[in-house]
Amino acid sequence: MSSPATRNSLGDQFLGILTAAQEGGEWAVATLYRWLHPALVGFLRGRVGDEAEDLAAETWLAVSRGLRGFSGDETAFRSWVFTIAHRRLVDHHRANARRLRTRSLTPGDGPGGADEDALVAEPASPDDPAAETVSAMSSDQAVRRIVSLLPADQAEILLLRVVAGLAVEDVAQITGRKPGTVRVLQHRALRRLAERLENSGQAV
Amino acid sequence: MGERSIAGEMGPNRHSLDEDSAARLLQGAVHPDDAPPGYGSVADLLAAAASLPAVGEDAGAATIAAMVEAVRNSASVPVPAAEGSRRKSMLGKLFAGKALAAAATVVLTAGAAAAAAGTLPTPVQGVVADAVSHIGIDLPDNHGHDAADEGDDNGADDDTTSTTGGTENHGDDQGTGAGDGAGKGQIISGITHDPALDGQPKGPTVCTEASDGQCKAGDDHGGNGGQGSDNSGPGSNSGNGNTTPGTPRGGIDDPAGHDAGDDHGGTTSTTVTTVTTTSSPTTATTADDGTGASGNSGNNSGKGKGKGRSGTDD
Repeated sequence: MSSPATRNSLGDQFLGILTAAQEGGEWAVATLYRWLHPALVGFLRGRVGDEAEDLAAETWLAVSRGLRGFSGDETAFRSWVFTIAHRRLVDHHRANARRLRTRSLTPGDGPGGADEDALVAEPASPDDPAAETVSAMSSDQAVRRIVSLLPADQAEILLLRVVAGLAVEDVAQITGRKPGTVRVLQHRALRRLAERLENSGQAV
Repeated sequence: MGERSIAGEMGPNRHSLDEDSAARLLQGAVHPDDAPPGYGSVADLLAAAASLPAVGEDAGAATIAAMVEAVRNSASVPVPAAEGSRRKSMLGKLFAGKALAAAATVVLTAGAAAAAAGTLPTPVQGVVADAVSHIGIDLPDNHGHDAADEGDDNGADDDTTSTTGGTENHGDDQGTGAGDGAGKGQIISGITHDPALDGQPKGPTVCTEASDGQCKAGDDHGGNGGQGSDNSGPGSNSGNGNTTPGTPRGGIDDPAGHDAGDDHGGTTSTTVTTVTTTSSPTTATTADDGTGASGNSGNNSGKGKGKGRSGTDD
């Protein structure tokens, strides 16, 4: 079984595609987009739910604006794109938090509104029958399931590792943690997932 | 494996996971059937999460068009700073700051040396001397021989040493007063440049010559510090305090015994270093740096500087 990263790799073609994209070649830009967009949306969906597509589009525009200045290999490019996505995510959460604070001061606009719901991905209920049949899940459902079972920091680490296909060091750089911390978090995440999945299976 | 299976049946350790298995799970390299006990569902879930759908040919057309436009437009716009170039720019700023600090240090040091040697323009020298006199530091008011005179007034034995250093700097220029000091300067210069003494300790000789036999070469620092304090003449204090401890090291590396004061300067403030350089042989070094620019000190300057550095390295 190959890793997600190698499964979804441009290989030796990457540098040629990157160069063409940096010169504004539409086919090359499209290739880069189609290559990483699913992983990008998968990661973002785990954090912002239905707003993932919008955030992904913003991320791609930011990538395009900086594309000519980028130099590096496929792994570095992947890491760079997800670094930008992570920053957009942080900005998004901050903006939503500000909006919530403002709204909470407005009479009759209590918690539980649409804005608050938009802050987190819609978690799948552990009792949701669709969530129990793991093997039949789509990537989207699996991501939502992971997010519903884990604390936010552990879920983010796991999504960056599994969905984005990034190495521990890249995840550490993106999230501003030490590699050792990332390893600890991912280990805890796996153990917690195992416990929660087992519990939900027994409940059924 | 048997150990793990047993542990797996024991409840609390059922979900124990070693580092390697965790890494393989995260890489999608573990089939659910081969997963550690309790991790079959996890492997399944992670595999599902990683099975990303392909993007259709027509999907994202609007985003791709916007991306192409952004890339092409970025040609005429300065490229956003990438990680590397941003770092380079920060390094540039850092080095610029350091260069500025170094330049400021050089200017201040040269100014202090010039003030110590009394070679600043008369009005400036007067202002500086007046200013620092409030904190107990005596600098030549107008000319170096003033300091020498003051030293003489104090009447301490060590004044000779002090005067020697002080007047040596100006003797060449002015040829006034402090004739004794000027003569000693030449003598000391002769000693330091005597090829017959190359490779031999010159410090003690210089010290003895400069202090008319009053040199306390080899005395420990504390003792000399006390001795310096006893003397009333500020020039004497610093002169003796620096010359003496420096002499043993000067005897090894520093024929002029100059940079004995470096040690003291290193542990005290710059101001104090400046003071000590005023009247001690060390001062001759620093002052020579300043006066050397006007061609006063000649050889003594170079000798003092070079040897002083090696002495400091000790």
